[in-house]
Amino acid sequence: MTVADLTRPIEILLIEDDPADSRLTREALKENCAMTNLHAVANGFEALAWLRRQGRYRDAPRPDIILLDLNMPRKDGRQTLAEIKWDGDLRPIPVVVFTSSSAEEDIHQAYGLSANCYVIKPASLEEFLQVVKSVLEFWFSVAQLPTE
Amino acid sequence: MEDANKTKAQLIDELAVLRRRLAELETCQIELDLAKGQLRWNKDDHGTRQDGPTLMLALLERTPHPIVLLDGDGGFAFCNGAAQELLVCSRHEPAGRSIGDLDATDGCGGLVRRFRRLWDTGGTLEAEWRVGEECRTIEFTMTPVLWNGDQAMLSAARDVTDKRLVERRLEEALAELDQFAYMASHDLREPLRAVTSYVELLSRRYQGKLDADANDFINFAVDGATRMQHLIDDLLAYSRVGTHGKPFRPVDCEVVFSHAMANLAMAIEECHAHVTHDPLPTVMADGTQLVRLFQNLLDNAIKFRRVGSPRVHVSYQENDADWVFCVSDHGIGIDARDAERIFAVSQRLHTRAEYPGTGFGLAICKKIVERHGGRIWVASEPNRGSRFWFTIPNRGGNQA
Repeated sequence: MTVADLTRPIEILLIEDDPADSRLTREALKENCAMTNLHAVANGFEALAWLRRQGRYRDAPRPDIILLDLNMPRKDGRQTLAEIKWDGDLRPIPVVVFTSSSAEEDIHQAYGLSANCYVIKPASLEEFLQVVKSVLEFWFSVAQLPTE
Repeated sequence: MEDANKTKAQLIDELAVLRRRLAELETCQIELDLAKGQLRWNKDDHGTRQDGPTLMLALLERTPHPIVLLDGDGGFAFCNGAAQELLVCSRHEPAGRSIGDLDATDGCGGLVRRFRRLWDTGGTLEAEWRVGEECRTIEFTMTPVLWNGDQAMLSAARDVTDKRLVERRLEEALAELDQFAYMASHDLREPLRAVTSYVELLSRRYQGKLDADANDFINFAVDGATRMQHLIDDLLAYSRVGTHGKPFRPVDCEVVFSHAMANLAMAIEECHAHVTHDPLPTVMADGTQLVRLFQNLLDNAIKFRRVGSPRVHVSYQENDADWVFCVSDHGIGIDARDAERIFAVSQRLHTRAEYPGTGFGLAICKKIVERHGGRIWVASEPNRGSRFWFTIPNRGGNQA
């Protein structure tokens, strides 16, 4: 599955507790990646409910890709990542860890928990926009993804 | 038969008294020797002998610092009053008649071995010593002397427990400060990134759609946020020198130089700087920090230029103990009065409009050099260029 094969918008699940960052990602997509639907949840509990279509997320679409922040209250990114990759049904969905942490131990741990890639949120807007664009271009134009 | 009734403890006490008497006798012997002028200093006889051995003996006896004369086997050939007191307090008397006994009773750990190593040269050694109920750190300053024709070791003891404690506390406080600066700058980045990003987004989306005032305000906000970003990045870099240093390994300064040059490629190209260097050695250092050190110095040499393309040269010399590096330029130079100040944190000599920067560059350099046990200084005159010198102790890395 590449962008060319898609007849529908790319469904993105953003797991991010900071509304400012959440909105910034939305704005970045608006500028560079038109054919996307961004769904944002604020913590790991919400994310897993979304992915398992529980409660009010009964009709939630299955995301094509997950953008995951690491440092969140309640269920944080590491725990959420572990649970997604533990779940045979959710495991194939690419998870991009998208965080401001450049700590080596965080990077190491994320890949250890089977993150599909680790991206550090850049400090400047210009780079931020560019990085969001590059990530989506890679996963949906360069890489091949499994079809459902 | 009376003896048979004495308890073991009584016998030990008596033995203690006898030993002390013996020590007193030996001291008398020393007095006699001194009187006969037999005790001579191995080095630097400043004529003290002419002033009379009695004076010297009084000095030895009365000084509050424990002084011991050790023979070749580490035996106590002479103990002054303070030394006897220390030995009694530390319960080495009556058991201890040599530093070997200290090893045995206190587990001082290789005191004899360390003592032997200093036999020819003298020097200092430190030992943890139980005094009363406490464990104290005692420093011995050893000087080889001649005594009755044989070599002996004059050893002055000093209780450095409090000094070491203060040093340790100071180190801990500095480490804590570094840790604080690191956490603060790290945590500040997140909200600052939000400010910077959104002001930039404002300027991107609305630049030209608002009136001139609004554009000015946005520009000031963008500029302020960007500067703060640089300050926080530099503060983080500064604190990381202390908190995230790597162990010293042999580092090829040629490679370090190339890394630094690559990081500065844009600035160098912009002003057509001509940067040359001597063949550089391999030193024992933290490679990442050394790149930063070279980079900051080269960056300054290029930045503080006069008209025309700057010329910068990196040279080095080797002396007994250090590698001495020098980064020289033909730039604007520095007034001698400011030569110290420029290495302090957040010190700037120029306005940002003249020369941009946070004022952290040289403070970071100083911290890196000092972490390596070296020194950094500048020789300069206004309008006649600057030479920044720094040393890295030669730990034999060039042989590696």
